[in-house]
Amino acid sequence: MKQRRKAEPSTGHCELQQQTLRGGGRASANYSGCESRGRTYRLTRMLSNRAFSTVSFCNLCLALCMILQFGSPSAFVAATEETYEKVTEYPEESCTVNLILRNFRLVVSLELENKSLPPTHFTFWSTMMSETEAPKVLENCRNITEPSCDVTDKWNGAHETYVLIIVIYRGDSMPSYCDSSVMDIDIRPEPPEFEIIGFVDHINVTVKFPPVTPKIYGESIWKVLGSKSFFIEERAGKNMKMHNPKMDNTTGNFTYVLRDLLPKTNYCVSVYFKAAKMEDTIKSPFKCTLLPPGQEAGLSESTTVGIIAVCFITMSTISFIILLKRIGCICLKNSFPNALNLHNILYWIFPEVPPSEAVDKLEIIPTNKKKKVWNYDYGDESDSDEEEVPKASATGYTTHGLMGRLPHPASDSSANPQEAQLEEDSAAEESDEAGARAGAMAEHPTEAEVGSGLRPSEDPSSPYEKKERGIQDSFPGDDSSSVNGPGDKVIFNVNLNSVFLRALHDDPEEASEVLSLAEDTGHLDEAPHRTESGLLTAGSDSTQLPQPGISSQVLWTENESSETTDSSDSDADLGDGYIMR
Amino acid sequence: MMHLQLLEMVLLFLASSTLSSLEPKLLLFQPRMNGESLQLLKPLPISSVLQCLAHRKNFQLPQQAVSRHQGQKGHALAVLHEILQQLFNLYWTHVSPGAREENDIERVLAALHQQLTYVESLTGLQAEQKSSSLSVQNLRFQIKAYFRRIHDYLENQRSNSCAGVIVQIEANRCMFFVLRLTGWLNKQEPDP
Repeated sequence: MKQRRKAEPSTGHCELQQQTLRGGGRASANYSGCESRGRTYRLTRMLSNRAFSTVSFCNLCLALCMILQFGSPSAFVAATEETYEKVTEYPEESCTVNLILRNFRLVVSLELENKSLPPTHFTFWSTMMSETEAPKVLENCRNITEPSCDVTDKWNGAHETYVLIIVIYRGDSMPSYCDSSVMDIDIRPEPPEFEIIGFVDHINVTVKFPPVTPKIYGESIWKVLGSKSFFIEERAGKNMKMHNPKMDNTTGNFTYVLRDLLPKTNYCVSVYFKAAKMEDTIKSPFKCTLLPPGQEAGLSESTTVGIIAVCFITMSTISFIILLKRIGCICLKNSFPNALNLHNILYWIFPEVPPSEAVDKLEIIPTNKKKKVWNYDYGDESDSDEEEVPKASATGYTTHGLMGRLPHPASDSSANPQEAQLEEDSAAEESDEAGARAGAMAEHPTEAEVGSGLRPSEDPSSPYEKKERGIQDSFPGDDSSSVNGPGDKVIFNVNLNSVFLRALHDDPEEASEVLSLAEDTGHLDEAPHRTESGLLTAGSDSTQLPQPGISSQVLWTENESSETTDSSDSDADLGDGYIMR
Repeated sequence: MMHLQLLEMVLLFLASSTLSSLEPKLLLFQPRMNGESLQLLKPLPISSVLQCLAHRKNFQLPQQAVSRHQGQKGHALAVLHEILQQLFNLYWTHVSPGAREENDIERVLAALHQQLTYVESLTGLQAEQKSSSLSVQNLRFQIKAYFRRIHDYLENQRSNSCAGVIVQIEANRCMFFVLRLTGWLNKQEPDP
């Protein structure tokens, strides 16, 4: 029995034929053909198997490479096969996309709401709404591990609406996606880095900007954000002040000075860009500094201390001086005794010039030449017998009569005996004249002048100083002054201690009184009497000296009787209590 | 039809500006808007945006053409006047009331009209329109063509919800362009 089993064409058929050949002879030829076909089959099969193995091996190698490159097989599948349409087939996931300006770079940041399973990597797709092109992968943000993508160089159209599609991969799980649209008004600018340096009354705020003006959307950052979008906030306690410097083409480090600050005060500074929406504004953390004390404060303190010290020293000094003064150590009063009173020392040295005195010149006309007209010597002399002892008046003065006259203003004061002689002769001739002359001939003819007064301290025996005074010769009928001319003057020194002085006043009555007195005593002298103003004759007792200082005119009359007998008749009673000599 | 949200966006956008300013200086829009108007300027939820990527259209805003003539104050004012006028027409034609009161629409239109009158009083655009300056007419033509494309898109996408989203986003882009233009005009010295 023969049985054909359907076997593999290559081997089974040939084996059946081989069994048949064992049974007969006809199958031998068939067996050889089958055998060759089997060999071919086997060879082909072997080759195909090898090829398949090779291909498989290559695929395996390629898969391994892809795995090594992308991390997972799913990534490989996604990278190669994922299209936008494919992405939209992934499950959608809620997320928040923020457009942030970080370090002056435009960055898209993703925040997932589902945080149960952390994602492994992300892929960002984007497109513009104003264009019709399909979303494209942002090559720099393909399969990145960070949920943020720098789009500064990718987006070049301001005021455009950009659509973002972010594919979220979580290992081997099915990827998901989230999408959003953003505009430039959605930008949340992060604050730049800055430093502060505090001084006494100001703070330097140095903000770090790039050396080149950054650009976003192909335009200057200041054009997109606005030149007045940068703010500096200054705080001191509860006080807050905003500074808004204008930023147009600011590059590099920018320094802004906060002025008019208070020393010794803690100030805090914060900087930020103002976003289009207030809730998108991000402020930097505050940086604080305590300002040092100013020189004004320190100076005021030192000045105050100095002023207080000076005042204390001044008050102490004044108090000490007052104490010394009260004690008597300083500022003593001059209470010297009179002996030590040196105030008058100058007076001693330079005696005061006596006030000007009314000086009247007196010309004494000797009335009795023979006799000693002038004899103050009341001692024992030959004439003493002839002379009466002068009687002392009640006042205690004795008088001697002397006659003289006021000298002619231009007359010479000198006198000589000749003149005296002539005078005597003329006096005898002039008996009828109204005026009486009193003269005396002195042994030492001098012209006496009596000052207006004598000081007590003066030596009365000292000669008078001659003072000329314009005294008019008032003798009436003095035309015969030829006799009594300038040469008829007698100059003599008068010892005041021995004479009586009486001041002649301008009062004519007094003068007439004197003159009358002189007439009354005319018998005293043989010589003609002449009465003149200012001329006195006295022969009466006079025992009282006039008071010093009284301007007086010396008038002496000497009569014979007085020489012989100093009777009371020889003394002229002036009627006022004075008895003149 | 444009979504009402776009209308609110425009309303707040205009409200944040100095439309009611009686100052002689031209200051129409603030260069930076407040938070509320900015929020409305943002597109609709992103899912809508992603689904609407296939429905996008490039309306070809003539920015470059306008930028070339920006140095001339008269041309800038003419462009500004034309854009405001076209926006007025766009909202008048395609804004759907929705749940909002029609007063909001009227307020937006009134604000736009006020701005148009203000610009005309400053520049005497009526006289300029009559003078038919070639360069100015060319600019106006380009702006009109731009808004014509928007009108046509809305007409063709009546049943498509993404049309409103697309137009909203395009209007935002136009607004930013206007802001830049007015900012430049505000920096110019007033005419003697």
